[in-house]
Parts: sequence; structure tokens; C-alpha cells
Amino acid sequence: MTTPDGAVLFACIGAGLLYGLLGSITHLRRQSLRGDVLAHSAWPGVLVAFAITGEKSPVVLALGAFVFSAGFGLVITWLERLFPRLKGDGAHALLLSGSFALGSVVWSLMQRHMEGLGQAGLKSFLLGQAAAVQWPDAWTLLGASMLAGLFVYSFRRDISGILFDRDHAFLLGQPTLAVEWILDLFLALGVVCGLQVVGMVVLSALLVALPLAVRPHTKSFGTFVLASTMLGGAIGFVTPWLVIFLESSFGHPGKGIPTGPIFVVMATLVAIASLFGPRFNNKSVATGIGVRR
Amino acid sequence: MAKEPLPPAEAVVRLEDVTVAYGDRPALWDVDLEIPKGSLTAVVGPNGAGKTTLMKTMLGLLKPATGRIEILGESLAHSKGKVAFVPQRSSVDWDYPATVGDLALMGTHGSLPWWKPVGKEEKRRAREALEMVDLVGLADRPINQLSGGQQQRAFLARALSQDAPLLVLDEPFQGIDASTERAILDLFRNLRRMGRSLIVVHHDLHTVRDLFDFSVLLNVRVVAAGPTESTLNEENLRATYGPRLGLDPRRAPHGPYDGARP
Ligand SMILES: Nc1ncnc2c1ncn2[C@@H]1O[C@H](COP(=O)(O)OP(=O)(O)OP(=O)(O)O)[C@@H](O)[C@H]1O
Ligand SMILES: [Mg+2]
Repeated sequence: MTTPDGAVLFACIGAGLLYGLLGSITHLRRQSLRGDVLAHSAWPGVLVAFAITGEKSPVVLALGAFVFSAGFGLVITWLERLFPRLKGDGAHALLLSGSFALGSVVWSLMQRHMEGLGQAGLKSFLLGQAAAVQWPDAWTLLGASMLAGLFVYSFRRDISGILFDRDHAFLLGQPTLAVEWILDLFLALGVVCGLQVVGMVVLSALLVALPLAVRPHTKSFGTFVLASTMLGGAIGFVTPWLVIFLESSFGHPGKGIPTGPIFVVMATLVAIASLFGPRFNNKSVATGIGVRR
Repeated sequence: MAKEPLPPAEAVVRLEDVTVAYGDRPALWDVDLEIPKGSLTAVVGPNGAGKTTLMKTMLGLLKPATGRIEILGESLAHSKGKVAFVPQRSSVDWDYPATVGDLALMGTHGSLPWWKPVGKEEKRRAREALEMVDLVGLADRPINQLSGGQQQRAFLARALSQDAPLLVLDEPFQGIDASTERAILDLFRNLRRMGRSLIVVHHDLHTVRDLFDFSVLLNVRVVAAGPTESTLNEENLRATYGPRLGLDPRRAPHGPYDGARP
């Protein structure tokens, strides 16, 4: 049996860590759909960037994706401020199909007016293209997860306080707005980092599945976030091996088995198994308060 | 013999001309209020009188349409962390991954810079707060496995661990059993003796009369505010609640029954 390509392996691990971490935060913000919307709106962003510049360079496309993602993120936040009833998933649901439809419209317009779109590889933004992953992709994902992890760890108390009870955090003097902005920014950046490698469908599924899988077994903010991140990394590590195994067993020459969907299927299976399975409620006493001295 | 007017006591909360409206319906109208430092103050009034609105406004959670607010002699922006608040109805997600101990610790987080880990001092304060509300035994229980009264006590613990000079509590005894309520009321008096100020929205006028030294009677306007003995009288209560004393919250203080007063 061959071993997976190093870049693919580390890109998968990086994606798992990153989306496990970001997913745990969106889960706590009850914004499971937010990643979905940001990812879906990155798609028209990529297309528009390509249409304007005619260039396929990753930087240009990523910039287009980021502008659209962040823009839609702002629209959601703004809608929620204006109409508190949309809190939770209302505004997201509203924009989710809209952003994807927008992408499809742009896509068909472009196919009519531009040549050579098929080779442009823009479709890889949907399901990713693990086969073409390079080392820079892997470093980007690993770097982004480290950066996000560092921020969440450093400001864990502010973040957990704000996500749990915004009013209380505000009264304590915790920087509610700044933290919310930075978390939004990390999500938009995270989406863009993985878009071409992981694909938007895969990415948003990971954001939802990973935190869901660990929630029943964790009872504190720290353990929850850490477990979601680690589970992502672990599944990311296993996935490329599984793909090689499946390819050698069932694959046809020239028709590989896509890595992204396998990643999602794994994460979803683990999530479902964990929802039905036994609970490992960690006995560890995070606070040490209940312990008699 | 005329009493010498005392020098104005320091105010823990001072509101001037505060008006708050939801849409175009005012919930508080032209409120002028001074609550003395070191007092155990009750805010009473019928449902919909604007008590919750008053608490949230003086904490800066609601923006008044007009008026000025001072907390502990400073503007609202400078009062961060100095006021502990227990809301009447909290919209928090009780499925959040946190234990009772975590919740109690949250009160201490305002005084801790981000680079410092939670230390002995914070744990001590959280533990003491849990002892006060008799929840130490449940410190490691996830908050989604608490009863309604236990949730309320956990929130009280979070406010107590903050060690704030001013505590604002909006109907803190909802769903709390009688003996715990009495214990917590005793605790309030102890805190007051230690120099803290407390402002409590409370519906039981008997306990207000017995235990609270300052009272604010509210019904959109401040009907009366002052030392409980002189403020909580028949006339003011009728002006606040209407003639059937608290049974008919829809009657405005100066509604049609005014003329029927003796
Ligand atoms: N979010 C809101 N939007 C619109 N109107 C509101 C809102 N919150 C409160 N009100 C109105 O403002 C008035 C004051 O409400 P508030 O909650 O301050 O009353 P309260 O004195 O705390 O009552 P209770 O004893 O029932 O807690 C009420 O008439 C209420 O209908
Ligand atoms: Mg109220």
C-alpha cells in the first residue's frame, strides 16, 4: 500500500483542525449555518474575481472569495441587528440559497460569454481538489488553524463569556464587539483558506459535524473546543489513508476517489455514532471548585 | 424643631430626566432618581411598570431617549465591572458547555487580564459564592442539568463572585424556595453591612417593609422614592398600584380611579 502524499495529508489535518475549531465557535454562537453561507457566497466571489481579472491565480480568487464572504457575513450581522427575530439561523437561512443561486447565475452567464472555463478549474471550489494540493495549501491551512487556535486560547475567557451571555460580558467590561468581529473575520478567512482545497460543500459540512460529534461528551467550553479541534485533526489524518485504501480496493485507473467527500462522510458518521453512542462525560474537574480542601 | 438638612448622601445611582421608549411607547417617563450608597433598595411596582427597563437602562444595556445616568459617581462607560447584575429573565443558552463552577467563575473574569490564568483568588471567590447560594455540591454539574431554581441560584453565584460594590437584581427569587430566599435575604443584609449597595426588584411588600431601607415606587414615572418607612405608605402604594393594591396592573397611577380617592 502506498502512503498518501505529504501535502495532501497535512492539508487534511490542517483543514480538520481549522474547521473543528471554527465549527465549535459557530456552534456555540448558534450559527451553524453561518459557515455555510460564507462558503456559499465565496463561490460567486471567486467567479466574479475571475470574470473581472481573467486570472486564475489563487491570490486573486481568494481575494474575491474573501470580499464576498466577509460582505455576506456583514449583511447577516446587520440583518440580525435590525431584526432581532432573525437571530439564530433565520438570517442565514435567508441568505444561504440566495448566495448559491447568485453563484449559479454568474456561472451560467460566464459560460456563455467566456471561453475555456472548463479548464479554469473553478469547479474545484465546490468539492475541492485534493489531488492538486500543494505544500503551500497545507501550510496555509495549518497556519490558519494555529493562528485561530492561539487567539481562541488567549482570549478563552472573554470568548466563552461573550458567547454564553453577551449582556453579562458587556457589564464585566469584556470587549464584546471586538471579539465578535474577530471571530467573524476568522471564519471568513478560514473559509477562504480551505475553499480551493476542501471545497465549499465539504467545508460547511465539517463546520457542522465536528462540534456536533463532541458536544455530548464535553461539559466545559475548553474541553468542547479542544475536542472538536482534535477530532477534526484526527479525521483529517485518517482520511487520506482511507482514500488510498478505497482506491486500491474499488477505484478504476484514472478515476480517483475524491478526498473531500470521504472526509465529510467520516465526520458525519462519527457525529451520528457519538449522538447515539454512550456518553463519556469527562470527570475531570476543570474548575477545581467543588473539591473539598 | 426643624431638623438640620443632612449633607446630601453619596449616590450609588443617579438618574436625571431619563425617558426610555420601546418604539413610540414610553416605558419610563422623566425619571429623576438618586439611590444612596450603601443602601438595600427595593424597586416595586406593578407588572409592566418599567422596573426591568429601569434596571437595564441604568446599567447601560438599554439606551435612554433622553437623560443622564451616573453609576458610583461616574459615567456609565467607567462603571464596567463594578456592577453585578442578575437579570429577571435570561436569554442565555442553557445548553452551553459550562458547569456550575464555570458559571460562578465567570463573575471573576472581569478583574482578570487575558494573559493571566485563573488563580487561587478567583477560585476562592467562586467557591464562596457557591457556598452562599448552597450550590457547592453541584459545582461540577453541567448547567443543562439544573432545575429552574438551581439555575437562578447559579446566576446569583455568578453575580456574588464578582465582588462588585453594587449589585442589581431583577426579581432574584423567582422559582427559589422559601428557605433559600430567606437565607439569601440575610446574605443581602450582610453584604449591605459590609458596605455594598444593592438594588433589588422585589414584589413582596412585606419583606420590603421589614428588610429594605430604601424604596423606589415605580409606575412609568417614579411615584415615590425614599427611606422605606416614610415611602412605603398606603397613599403612595395606591398611587403606584391603583386602588386595588397590586391586583390591577393595567390602571395607570392617575387613571380614572383618582377621583374616587377619599
Ligand atoms: N422589548 C420590548 N419591546 C417593546 N415593549 C417592551 C419591551 N420590553 C418591555 N416592553 C414594555 O415596556 C413596559 C415596561 O416593561 P418592563 O419589562 O420594564 O416592566 P416590569 O416592571 O419589569 O414588569 P414585570 O413586573 O412584569 O417584570 C411594558 O409595558 C412592556 O410591555
Ligand atoms: Mg421586569
